Amino acid sequence: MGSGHWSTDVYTAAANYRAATGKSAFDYSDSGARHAHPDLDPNGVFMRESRDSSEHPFSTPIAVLFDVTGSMGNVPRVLQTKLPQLLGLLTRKNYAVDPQIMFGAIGDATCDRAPLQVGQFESDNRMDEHLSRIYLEGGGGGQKHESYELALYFMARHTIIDSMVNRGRRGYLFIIGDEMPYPRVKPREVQAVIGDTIKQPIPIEEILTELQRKYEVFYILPTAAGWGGDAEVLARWRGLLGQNVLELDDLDAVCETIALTVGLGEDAIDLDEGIADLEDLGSAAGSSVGRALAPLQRTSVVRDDQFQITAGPGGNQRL
Amino acid sequence: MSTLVGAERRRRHEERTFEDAVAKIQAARTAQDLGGHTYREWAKIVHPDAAAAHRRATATEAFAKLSALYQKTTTSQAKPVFASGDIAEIYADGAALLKVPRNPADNDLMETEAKALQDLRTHGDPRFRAYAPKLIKTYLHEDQEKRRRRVNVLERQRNMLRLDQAGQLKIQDAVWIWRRLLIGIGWAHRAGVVHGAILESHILIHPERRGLVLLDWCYAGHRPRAIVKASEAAYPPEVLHDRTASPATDIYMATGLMTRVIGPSRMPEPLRRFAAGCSYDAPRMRPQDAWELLGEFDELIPENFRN
Repeated sequence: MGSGHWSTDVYTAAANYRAATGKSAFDYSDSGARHAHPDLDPNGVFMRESRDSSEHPFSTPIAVLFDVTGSMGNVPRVLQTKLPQLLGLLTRKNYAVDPQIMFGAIGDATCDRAPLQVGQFESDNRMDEHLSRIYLEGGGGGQKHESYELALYFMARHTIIDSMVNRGRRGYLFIIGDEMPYPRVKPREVQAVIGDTIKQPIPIEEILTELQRKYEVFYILPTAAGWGGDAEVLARWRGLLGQNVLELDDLDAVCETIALTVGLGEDAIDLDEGIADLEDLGSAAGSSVGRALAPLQRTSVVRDDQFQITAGPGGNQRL
Repeated sequence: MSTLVGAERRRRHEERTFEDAVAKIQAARTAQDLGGHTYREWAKIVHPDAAAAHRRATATEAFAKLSALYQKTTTSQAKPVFASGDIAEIYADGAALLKVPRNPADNDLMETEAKALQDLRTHGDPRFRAYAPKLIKTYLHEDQEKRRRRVNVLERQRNMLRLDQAGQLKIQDAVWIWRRLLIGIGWAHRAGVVHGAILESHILIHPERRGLVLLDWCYAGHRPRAIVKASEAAYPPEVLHDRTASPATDIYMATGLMTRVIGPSRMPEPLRRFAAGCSYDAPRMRPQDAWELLGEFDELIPENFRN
């Protein structure tokens, strides 16, 4: 009413605003780059590390790798603008303790110049640098397959996460894409892209099992992408990851989806609470995220002091 | 004859006018008391040269008084300074404040402010107008040394307190101030305006009515031309290094401001985390929308604080 005197009713006035961002979020691609930035080149990398430190004693590793091939259309660009806000969202909402985030990109090793790009786990501004240095390939083979298996291989064999080593807590790996992985990790591609020598092809199921010892693995399929909603793609990933396949119909909600998934996994929230969080914002993301995450509601972790765990050597040895 | 009657009537009328004018001038204590006519109109009535011989002495006296009254206003037209800002002196004039830059080289900043306030009027949701002062007018003033200054005339905000003079605030008060701040900047962002200098000295609060007014829009815009030197440490890197500003800049500065206002050691843990998630060096990693952020803020605070 009138001047309203310090009206505070922003929720009815809020809808549909997109902040203008300053400089281009796509510095690296727009500068005419044709291959992976050295910081993101997986070739010769021994380990990407998520470490506990005095500043971040309970690190929670979160890796987000997204498909940058042509079939994804505009999706990678949107992701490159949205994902920088993931850390802040996790921090402000306390969905995860000491989050450390790594970004990367997936292409197609059969034809692309940069089939795999991986940053480092970071808990500060450097993650944004990595993200803006991701080269958006826009290529791909057009046969409904991309080299996801190569990314899974890298994550399984070339990352080390203290949360697992020190606390038995798995990290989170999100793959955002719209196509299927090739059925096997091929020695020739591993050699060319990562620099490892492996004797024989590794079936994707096998590398996934190895990976899942370290990470809770999720596949997010944006319905805005080329093969969005494709039954064959969905069936393939559901076969591999079960309920951890999430369909996302609003790309703007990608950070919220990841954040809530981590929040659920960390038992920091339950789903209803998370969705209510979003709806309180007047965010249109609520229903999209709700649909995407509905399969993930789970029973909560028991936290009490019922029994004492004695420290001592483990009973097995990893090979 | 009718002309004589007319002349006589005119003479009587002039006499009455003259006497009234003299009486008013003698009674006046400032030029403002003489609101009915301009200086020139008064001068015409009581000028000794125009007065009849028998009234000359009275006229001379009244004219002298009139000159003195107006002399006073022109020399101290700038009355006592009402407040001193980073770049401008502010003079009170009834319901208005005149904001005059000390250095004419800062005229561009004054123009920026005028433009920002006009944009807020034109493009901003009118329900939130109370969050910024109203620009009454803006004009170029030239002084005797031919220096031109852009003067912004703003509506005066009564009974308000500058945040930097508010002393130690209770957390409850800090919470409503924080909310109002997010509302104010969110409103501006939607109108396409970035404030660019969210600092203690640029915020007025009305404790009883929980009002907040954001002052000093001189630094507004996506390519800020200047910063408040004394507060350099409060600015995020993109302003200092790249000379760019975005809604995320205001969010960063508002967060820093509220952290200082509450005091980092008094900050409740959820608010501390909230602040940390708004304060990254990279603007892209900060929240981009103040009103959406208000939604998050509201979740952290008890329900009865959300007003």
